[in-house]
Amino acid sequence: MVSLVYWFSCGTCLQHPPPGSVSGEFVNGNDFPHLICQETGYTKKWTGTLKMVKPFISVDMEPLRNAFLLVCRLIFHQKTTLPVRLFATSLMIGLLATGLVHARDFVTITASKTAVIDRSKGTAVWQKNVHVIRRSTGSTLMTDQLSIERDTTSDQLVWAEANGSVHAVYYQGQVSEEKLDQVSEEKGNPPDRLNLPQEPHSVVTCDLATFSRKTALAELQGRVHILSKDFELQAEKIRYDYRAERGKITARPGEQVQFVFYKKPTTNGMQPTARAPVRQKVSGVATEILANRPSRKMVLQGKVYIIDYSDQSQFRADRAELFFNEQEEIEIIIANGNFSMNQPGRVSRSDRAVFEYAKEEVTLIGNAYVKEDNKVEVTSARIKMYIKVNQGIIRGVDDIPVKMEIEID
Amino acid sequence: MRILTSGLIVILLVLAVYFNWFAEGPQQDTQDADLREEKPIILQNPELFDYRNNRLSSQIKAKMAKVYESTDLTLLTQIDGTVYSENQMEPPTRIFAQSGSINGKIKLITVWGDVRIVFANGQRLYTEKLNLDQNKQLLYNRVAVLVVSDHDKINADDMLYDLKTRILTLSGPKAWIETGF
Repeated sequence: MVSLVYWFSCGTCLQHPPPGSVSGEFVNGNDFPHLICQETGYTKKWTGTLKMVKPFISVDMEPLRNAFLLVCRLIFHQKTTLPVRLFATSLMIGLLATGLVHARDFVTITASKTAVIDRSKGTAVWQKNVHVIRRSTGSTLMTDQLSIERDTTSDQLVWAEANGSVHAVYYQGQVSEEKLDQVSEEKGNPPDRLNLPQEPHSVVTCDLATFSRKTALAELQGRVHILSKDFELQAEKIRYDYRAERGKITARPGEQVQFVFYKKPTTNGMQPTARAPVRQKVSGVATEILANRPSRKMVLQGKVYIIDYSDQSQFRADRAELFFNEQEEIEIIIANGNFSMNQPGRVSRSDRAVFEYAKEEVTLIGNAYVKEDNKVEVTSARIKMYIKVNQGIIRGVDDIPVKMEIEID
Repeated sequence: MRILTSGLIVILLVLAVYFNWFAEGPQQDTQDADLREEKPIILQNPELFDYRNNRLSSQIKAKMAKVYESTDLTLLTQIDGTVYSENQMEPPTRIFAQSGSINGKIKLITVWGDVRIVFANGQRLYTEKLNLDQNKQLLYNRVAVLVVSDHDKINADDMLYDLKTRILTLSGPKAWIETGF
């Protein structure tokens, strides 16, 4: 006996797990097989005109493999009669088709209230507790109401809106080799790729999310929170042109956008270890943020305040440009306008400041002023210093004179 | 004695309420009995046509029809129905079912048993029972439905399809959509 999974729809229930599917079973005997729904007991003799429903649903590959082997035996067995052989061949084609469909990607959408569908316009509105899952990655979207518009000829999604309590969890696909190596190292044996728990790439919550293929715009509005492995953002609105890969993140009037980014860890002159060192957190606020992915740049504007957790330094500026490397880590920060920085043991001010994290240096440009705890005060048009206070080397740049005042008790 | 009298009055009242409020049952029985008693007109391979504003609005072919004239009720087997859209340019909606009935008084067509609908856009709908309200131009039911098209499949608890606006409303929907995202 073999199970033909998810091939036919049950004429009675139409909705057995997974919905719309039924397990068909061969009933022993010389007759053509009967199909039996395991939930309702609905039995129907296969006449070849049963409702063929495309097997959209996730298929347990093991019974499919068994069915495939059995059909192979049926076809090639010496005692198999011609009708059975023909039947088995058609069954084989069906199984192959099932396998092909299985390889395709699907999105499942469920709603506890209604779906209002207008096929002529390609629109559908899903209401109440809408839950969307992308099968290939496991990425999910939950919201109160989901409206979608698909192209009536190609079925391609052209517009979508998730309205109310939007919660999206995005997985970026397969488990990375890096993660596998890490787990292998921790457990001391090779991990099972399929059973490895996957961490989401990002989790997004907001009140309203819209997507438009025509304008290539994705917008998130209302208490937006994005938690990603590379950054964290809290804002009122995010508008992102995914074609140009540019975006704008704004806060409510009177409030500020909160962000967390990461910078490359400093080595402190030590040899790099086999295990990758932990990235260092940089957080802060700004009135708005402009993102430009092609140039790996973020521009923070309006009352920028940044805290570097690696040395507890804090700085303020009117504007700051952040440049990222390929690992989405901050490489350079250029702060402009009324720059001031507080570090344990040092304060500094200037018109402009350039942080170069690879060199662990900061250059203060224009009316630069530095005061250290040991009462050394330095002023110059340009001062270059190590970001770490304890390294304490301060010098002028390009032969620009430095005025140093040392207070003597 | 007084208790017995009161109990009797209460029982009588309950019975009176039952026969007045739940009179549909006995009436239905009477109607069914009438149907059983009435000898229907039997038609083999009939084709039934319905016209609206001098235009063919629906056409039903069946293997057999039993027409009960007194109740204006027609029972059909092996139905192949076609519902034409008000817009003549649009293709019609096809309905197939094992059995059905046409209530001429209220212009209600009910079909049941392996019901299959092929919509103008090629979308297919499978269910076990379906009603077509010809007055309101609505297709509806209260049983599970399965809607299948080229790139998606939707299960739902019940459905309502407005033939005029061509909007399909499904309750408790669960969909599988092939990604074109």
